[in-house]
Amino acid sequence: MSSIDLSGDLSGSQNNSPLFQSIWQTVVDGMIVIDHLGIIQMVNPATLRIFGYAEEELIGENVKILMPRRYSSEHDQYLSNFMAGGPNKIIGIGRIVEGKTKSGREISMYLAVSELKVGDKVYFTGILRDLTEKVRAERDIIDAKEEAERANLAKSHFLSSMSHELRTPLNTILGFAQLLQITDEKDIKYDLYQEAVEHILKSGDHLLRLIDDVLDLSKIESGIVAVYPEDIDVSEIVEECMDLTKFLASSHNVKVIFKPENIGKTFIHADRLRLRQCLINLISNGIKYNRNDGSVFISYRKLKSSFVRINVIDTGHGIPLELHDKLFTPFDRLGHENSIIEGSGVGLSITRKIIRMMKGDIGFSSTCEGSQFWIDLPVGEENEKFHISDGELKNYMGKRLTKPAGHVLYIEDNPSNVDLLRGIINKVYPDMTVDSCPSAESGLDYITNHRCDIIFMDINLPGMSGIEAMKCLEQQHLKVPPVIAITADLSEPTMKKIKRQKFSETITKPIDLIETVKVLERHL
Amino acid sequence: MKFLYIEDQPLNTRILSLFVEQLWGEKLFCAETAEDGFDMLMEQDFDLVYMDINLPKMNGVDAVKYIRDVLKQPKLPIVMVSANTSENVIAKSYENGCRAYIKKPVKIGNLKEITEQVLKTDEIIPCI
Repeated sequence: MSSIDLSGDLSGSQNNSPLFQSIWQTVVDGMIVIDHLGIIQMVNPATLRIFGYAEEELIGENVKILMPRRYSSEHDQYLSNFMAGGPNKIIGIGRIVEGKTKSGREISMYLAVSELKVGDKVYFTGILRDLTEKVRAERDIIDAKEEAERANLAKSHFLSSMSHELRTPLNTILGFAQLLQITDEKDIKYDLYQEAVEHILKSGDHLLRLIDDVLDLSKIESGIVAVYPEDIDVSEIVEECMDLTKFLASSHNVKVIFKPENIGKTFIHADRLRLRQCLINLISNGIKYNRNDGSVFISYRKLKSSFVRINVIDTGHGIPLELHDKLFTPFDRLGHENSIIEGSGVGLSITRKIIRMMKGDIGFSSTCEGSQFWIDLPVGEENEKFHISDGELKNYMGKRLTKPAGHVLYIEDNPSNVDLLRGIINKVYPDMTVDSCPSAESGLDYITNHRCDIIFMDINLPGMSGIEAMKCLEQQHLKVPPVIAITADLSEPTMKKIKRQKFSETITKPIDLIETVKVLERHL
Repeated sequence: MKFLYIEDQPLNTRILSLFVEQLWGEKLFCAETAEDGFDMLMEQDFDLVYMDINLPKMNGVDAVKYIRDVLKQPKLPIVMVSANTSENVIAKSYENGCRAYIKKPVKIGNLKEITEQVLKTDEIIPCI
């Protein structure tokens, strides 16, 4: 440790007092003394902590060692200018500067420099405080504020677009309704009457679709919507969606052409209902924004990564380059706002959100000869559950199966789940029969008129839920066969509601072969 | 009385045509773009222009300025008819020289009142 001596040399022992020593050693801020050439004379332990050097590595070095290169090159010049009476940027003032640690990391610090004269020599004392954390925290706050402002702006934009989108069909509805109101009943021409009614109904439908889409979007954005991925045969779901868009295609005079892969089946891991919604959105966009007599081509292939790409390609007029950025923005109908092509302008935003929730992605390319949209989703496994042998089953179960005969009722609105359960039962129990009802109401009717040995009840049904159906069953029948609850919703409130009912057991989706067989073995 | 409606959406044109016919027994002249509207304004005299904002090429707000500055028709009453309710857009429309601003959905009573007022006086009618 060196200290100042009045002769102008810092190596003397004048101030080497115990008091000075303990202040120098314990002060929280870094203290550093340099001479008029920038050579480090003294550093305290706090400085060493901040920069990660040992004392002997700094004493005798130019102070530039503690600065990022972009500042260090100017330092000599600045110092000599100052010595020659040039401008002062820091002496006697404090400011935030960048420093560089031994490991090369840059830190923000507050630096205050004072000038001192000892004899005929000039020294500078710098006091410095590491502000890296503070600066980072401030930057985080600013980032968060800017993010919130952006979100707020997006919300305002969304609301004003929404207002515009609602007013357009309302103008039609109120316009024609007012015309009907002010025209004398006996004067009104049948043509006008019919025209008015047609437009009112059409615009009403449009409004309804708009509201449904906006609610859907807001549910997805707020995270209320959950996805339940399962392994889906790509060809099967594409054909299903083509069937649902058949009418739209023929009314627009557009052909939808699907080229399935020749070799075997390809499976993707996705939520069936939500994937259907996304594919229908892309296919119907391909149809609506097409040329008369145009086509929509659908194809898929496995990518090298573990994804499957589904392509939807149209022969429309393409999307102008300057509008590409806005494609997934709600309500930006890219100049189609007032066109006769129906759409809420929310479809693609919903689709992208859903696809991302299913760990996939969506993208597109477009030329004046048409657009190509693609969806990448994780590859699924072929459903192996059906290929199990009796021997393997025996191993799983620990005993040979009883293989009873009997009749099963499955109350379920999703046909693919019905197919799955029926497939399992047909495979393992050839003597059993399975019937299904798509709603709780029809299921209750069925139970009154048919004998069943076991009932599988989906919980989330359209209309009456599985839980309400179970209550009805309790009230109606003295002797009820075992009822097994099937649910994809594992949330605590739902599970509690299920437990309050007299279900014999609960199984969770996706339906598993072994679990199902175990349940059947226990209750038959 | 001769009215011009600059609007690209046929359904809106149809409704306003029926309104104008009902109210004053007049035929409504229509143009699908601002540019077509300017051609008609140069060839014929109109008593009033109804102007949509969301038009395919030049938008309605700029079209008002064009009519005032380039076509040199400072007195021609122009009434905006739009589903756009943004305050900025409304303010800009008045700044460019429109006389009134009707928000869609159009109420027939409102249309009648504003149109008659604009034809009768030189006042600017604020948008409510």
